[in-house]
Amino acid sequence: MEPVDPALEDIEVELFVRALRQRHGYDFSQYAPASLKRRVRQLARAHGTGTISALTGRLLHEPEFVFEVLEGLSVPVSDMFRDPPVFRALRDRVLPVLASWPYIDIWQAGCANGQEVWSLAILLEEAGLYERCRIHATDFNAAALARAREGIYPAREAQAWSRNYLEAGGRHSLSDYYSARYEFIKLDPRLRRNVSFANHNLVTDKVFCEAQLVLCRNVLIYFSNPLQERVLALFRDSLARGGFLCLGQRESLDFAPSAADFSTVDADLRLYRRNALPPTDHAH
Amino acid sequence: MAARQPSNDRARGDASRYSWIAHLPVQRKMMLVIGPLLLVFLLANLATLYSLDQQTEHRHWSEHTYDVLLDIGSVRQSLLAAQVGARGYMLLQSTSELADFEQGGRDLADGLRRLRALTADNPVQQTRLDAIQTLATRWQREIVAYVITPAARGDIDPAARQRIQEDFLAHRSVTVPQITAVLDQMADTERNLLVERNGRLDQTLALMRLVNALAAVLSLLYGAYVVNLTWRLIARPLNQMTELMSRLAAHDHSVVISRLGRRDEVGQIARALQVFKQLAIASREQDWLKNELSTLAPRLQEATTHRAFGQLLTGEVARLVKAGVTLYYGYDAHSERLDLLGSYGLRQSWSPESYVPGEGLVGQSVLERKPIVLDTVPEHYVRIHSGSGEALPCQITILPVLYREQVVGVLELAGFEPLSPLCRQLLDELLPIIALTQENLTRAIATQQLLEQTREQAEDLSVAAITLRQQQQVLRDSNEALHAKTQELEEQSQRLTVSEEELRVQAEELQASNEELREKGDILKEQKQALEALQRETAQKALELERASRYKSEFLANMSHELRTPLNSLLILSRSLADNDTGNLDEEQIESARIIHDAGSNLLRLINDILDLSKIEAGKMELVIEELPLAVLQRSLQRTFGHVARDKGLSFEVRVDEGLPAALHTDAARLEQVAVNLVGNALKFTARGEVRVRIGRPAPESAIPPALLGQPLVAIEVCDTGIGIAPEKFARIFQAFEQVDAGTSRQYGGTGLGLAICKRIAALLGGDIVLRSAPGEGSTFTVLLPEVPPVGTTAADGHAPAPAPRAHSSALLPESIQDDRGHLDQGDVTILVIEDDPAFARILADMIHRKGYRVLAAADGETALALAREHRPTGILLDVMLPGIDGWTVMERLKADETVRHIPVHFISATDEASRGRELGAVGFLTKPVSREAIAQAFERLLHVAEDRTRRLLVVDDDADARTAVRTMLRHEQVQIDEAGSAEEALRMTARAQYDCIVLDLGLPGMSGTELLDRLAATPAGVPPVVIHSGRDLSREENLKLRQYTDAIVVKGARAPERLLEEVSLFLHSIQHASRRPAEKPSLGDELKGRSVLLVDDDMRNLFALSKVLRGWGLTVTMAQDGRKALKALEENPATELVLMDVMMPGMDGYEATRAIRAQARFAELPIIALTAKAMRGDRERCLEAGASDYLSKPVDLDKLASLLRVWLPH
Repeated sequence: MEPVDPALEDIEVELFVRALRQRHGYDFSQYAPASLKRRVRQLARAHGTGTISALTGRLLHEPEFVFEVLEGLSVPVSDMFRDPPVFRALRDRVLPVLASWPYIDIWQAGCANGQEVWSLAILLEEAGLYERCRIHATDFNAAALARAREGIYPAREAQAWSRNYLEAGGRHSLSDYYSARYEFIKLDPRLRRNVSFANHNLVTDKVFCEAQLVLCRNVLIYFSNPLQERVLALFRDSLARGGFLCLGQRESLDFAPSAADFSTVDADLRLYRRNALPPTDHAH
Repeated sequence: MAARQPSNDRARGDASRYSWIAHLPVQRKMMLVIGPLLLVFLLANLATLYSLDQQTEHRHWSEHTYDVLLDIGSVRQSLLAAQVGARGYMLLQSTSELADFEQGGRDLADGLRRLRALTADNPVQQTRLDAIQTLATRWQREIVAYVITPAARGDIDPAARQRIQEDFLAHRSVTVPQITAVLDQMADTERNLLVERNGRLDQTLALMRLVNALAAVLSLLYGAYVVNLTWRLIARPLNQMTELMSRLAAHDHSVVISRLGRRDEVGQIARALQVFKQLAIASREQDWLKNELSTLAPRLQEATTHRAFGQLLTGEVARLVKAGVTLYYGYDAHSERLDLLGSYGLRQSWSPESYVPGEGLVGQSVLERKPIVLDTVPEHYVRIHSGSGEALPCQITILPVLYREQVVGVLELAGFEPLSPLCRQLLDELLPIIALTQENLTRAIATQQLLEQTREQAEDLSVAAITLRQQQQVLRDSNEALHAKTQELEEQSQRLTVSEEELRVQAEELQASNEELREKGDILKEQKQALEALQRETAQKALELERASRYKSEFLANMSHELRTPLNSLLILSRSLADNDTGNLDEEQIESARIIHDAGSNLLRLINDILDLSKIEAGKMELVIEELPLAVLQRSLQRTFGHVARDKGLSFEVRVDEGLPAALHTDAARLEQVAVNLVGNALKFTARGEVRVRIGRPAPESAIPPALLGQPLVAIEVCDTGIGIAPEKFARIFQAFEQVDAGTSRQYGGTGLGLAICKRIAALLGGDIVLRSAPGEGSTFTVLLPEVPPVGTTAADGHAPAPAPRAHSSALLPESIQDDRGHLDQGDVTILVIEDDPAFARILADMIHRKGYRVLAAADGETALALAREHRPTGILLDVMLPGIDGWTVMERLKADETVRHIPVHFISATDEASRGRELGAVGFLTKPVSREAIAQAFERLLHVAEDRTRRLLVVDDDADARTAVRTMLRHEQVQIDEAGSAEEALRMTARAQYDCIVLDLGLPGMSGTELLDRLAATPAGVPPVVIHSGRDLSREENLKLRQYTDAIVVKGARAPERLLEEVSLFLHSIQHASRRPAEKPSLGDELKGRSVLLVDDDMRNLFALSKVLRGWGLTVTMAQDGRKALKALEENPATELVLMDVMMPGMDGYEATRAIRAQARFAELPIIALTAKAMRGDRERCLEAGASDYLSKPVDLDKLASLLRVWLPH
């Protein structure tokens, strides 16, 4: 692509975002601008439309195109047991506390291709808590949700995942939970029995469950500060008192206004806990 | 290569180790093996043949012997026959007897002849035959001579016979027994011979058996030996070779190949394998070499400096050739010097940093351009040094690195072992790479430096260029300016020349008219002075007018406040009377009280309207401009008036025309206020017929005010078939306090301010309201709004005019009401009421007394502060508008005083500035007029905050240890802990005392924990805060049931105690528990009482919050946690009248459940309202597509819920 005048590009991106919101209802205006711009640029390149405006044109005139755009704009990158210390902390420090609830609801927000959902199910299965659990796995990208539900991943990943699994304190072998064929692994569908996959857009949608644990890793980084704050408030309102929040390694509550509603369990692992009492009386 | 030597030795060793047989080719081995076997077989056969021969011969001889014996027998018989014949002849002299005798003699001779033939080989028998022959002949002759012949001479008488016989006996020399004796001897001999032969045959047979047996054993043994030999010499080696081959194929080069020295096929295979192995090793080594080179080359290329290059190179080379010390010198052609670029394993100070060519071996190698290898290293040479020691290397190698025949560097290696050929090869191939890479690096660095230089120059240049450009620009600009000026000057000079003449003429004329002008100027000056005086006067008046207007607004604000204050008491008291709490009023009195209340409410509305109007007129109405989707307006009107119209039996329709913008840019709330007012009026003044609202372009017949012409307008037309208005009254109805006539006012009620306010709001929004009507024909009110709002519609100052502080003196202070300050006891709960309206103060005091608390009352701030400091009340109720210092100041002073700052303060005021109140630290804010319920809540809040008494906790558990555990856990809390071992005991205890929290185990003997909760719920006090501490898992149903009473459920476990502690502390310390916060729900009256609703949601918080609200409205609520359970619940309660269906649920979600319900014909008309947390555009459509009748966003707005229930629950 030839160098584009940055000011012109800003206008194009703005129009693109507006088209996406007004035509399809997906609001990306609160996404972190630099990253969004990169992805839009990439999308234009991938679809060979040359300019972002051309992309906007297709977006407006081809109703089905929006799904490809969403696919391109979301960044569904993850691994099973990604950041093993986090999963180890979940296993050793969070699950024993969760066990004190009669039923445990877990919200995996932005589940993307589902690796973490499956990891979580394995973790819960091994902790003997899974029968009392329900995992709500949500994402705004329907295609990613479908992949998450399938639980089929390239076999070449399995090695690294096995390592992660063991580092996360896995008690068996990861291979106990999948069958491999044709260079793919398929996770045991029995692990899915207490997972409900649903479409939920963190930008627009509201609280839909009361959860004891909310996992939302590496999603907030794509959001601007006001949107991050909205989403954190959403998590706060979804969490039962004493419930846990687990964010990604580059995300933190440090400067968020919602921080007052949480106490830190482990700052390095981005593990927080919902305070029992609201810091201020919201009653009016 | 290195491995060949020992393997040859081994081959030789093998050769000597193996027997000669091992060396034979396989074919010969086979022959060797099979030959002896064949031989043994042949010998055994020969032996058998011989034995058979022996047997045949023996049989022949046996037959021969039998023949001899038979013949001997026949000879004996012939003899005896001859003897009998002779004897007979002697007796009878018959010829036959003689013939017998003669026959016997012939037979004898025949027999003897045969015997002779038979025994021809036996001389003994021949001799015996000769003897028999002789004896027989003699016997025959004697018979003939002495018997036959005498007997032949005539008759023989016995005597003669006797004589003959005697004669014979006397003469005979041979007797038959003699002959037979010889015959017997013969027969004996023959028999002996037979026995002897039989014996020999038996021997032969025995021998044969032995031979055969031996041959068999020998064959077997030999066979076994052969098998063994074959296994050892062929099969096993082949197996081993195969295995070795597999290992070799799998790149196991450590295999040791044996049997190399064998000269047979196995040896050949082994030798081939050996070759194969060497090839594999060589190929592996080459692979290794190529691999290392190919990985090293790019890494070397990554180096960006010579040092990094040298370090990387020496490190890698040392690793590759296992050298202890590696040095690399780069040759700088300019300075003709070798510089140490990198070293590995070198102790600092060992080696000089640089050499010149010819200096030392390193320098020498530059001159010679040949590798130098030192095999014996002298004592003081470089040592390979490590933490655990140091030693002299065994070999030093110095390699010049050549690039295009030029030395570019020298690599020096020192190691404990001489370089292996492979390493040499590696180095050979590496050196050109090093040379090339270094050369590239040198060039790259040079390029980089050049680039850097160029960039600096370019920067300098660009700076210079910019400066130059700027200077040029300045020059050009000034040039242009000069040019322009010159031109202008030229033109001017031209024009000057032209007009000079004219000027001159004019000047003359001017001079003439100057005088005239001066005169006129004087007149003008006078006029101007008059005008200025007039302007000053006008400004003064305007100022006065503005002041008057402000005074009016302030007056109105103050008035409304003054009016609201007594109204406040009036409304509360009249409501209280109408409710007939005490039950001592009759119907009529209640009705009167209700009328008072209604009238008061009307008055309040009027005051609000006046306030609105005064705000607008004072220009203080604040507009909030935002997007108002027309569909929202439509829906809101439909919802607000749909049921009113239905109640009145009117047809009601709200329509939005095509071709309009989707949304209006306006103040949504104000516009809605206008629309609601107009539609409300229309419905009010229409007894029958219809009311239609059309949102569209203005109708052609409507008179558009000239100010609005020429811009796109949106019209909201409210058209009714009501009483109508006469045209002459059109103007008046928009005036404040005007209705069509006084009679109308009485008939229809209303303040008469509504339309005036509407008209002014419309004007504020940049539009207008026009009216078409005729008496009896209905009216059409049209709100006209510009599509684009005019700029400046936003009023600047939104605050209501602050009521001016009223002048006061202590003499004018309102009188405080009677309070309890004289008789307060320690520990009394006391509330300080600061209120200047004695009527309201009395109401408050009365309510406080009724709650059993003490009252302190003050009518002004100063008194109040003094009272607060003196008595330290439990809580304070504070009015804002007070004589003297106002409520805000009182609050500030209270909070500034250490001694009273902790006392909670609750505002009750006619002003509406809750946020300011909270900022100052109030626990709550109520705006007058207030209801008694609200006051009661304010008390509660005050007291709740104030409570600092010791908390009481009840632990219900049948296990004494568990109770102790909880007690231990809470030992740091300021809490009194009671214990109950059973539910019955707990019931008794809760009846006696109020508990702040109960920790309840579910598994109790007798009455269960759940039952206990049910029983507690039935008591008037209700269920106190409960923390369930369950030792067992709960079913979902149990969980659901428990959630009615508490959401603090802790399952016993390792980490449960800490959570139990958290939950308990929460109840003990919380000022107000979130879930216990009274829901501020709109009241619904009895409209929906008894209707049955099914509530479906998996979010239990929502489930219970909503069910509480719905039950509060008098509805019967069934709950279900997911789609499937919802279907089941509908099955069980087919009388359900409405379903509230959450969309996102696990298992069967809301869409699916809705579809499933709709699939049943009997539920086709059942209203289903979808509750959705999703706000995307398509989500709502999906709800409706699935069959939902309507939808409601989460979190649920209770007002909207109420409206929806009204709309959808069939009447």
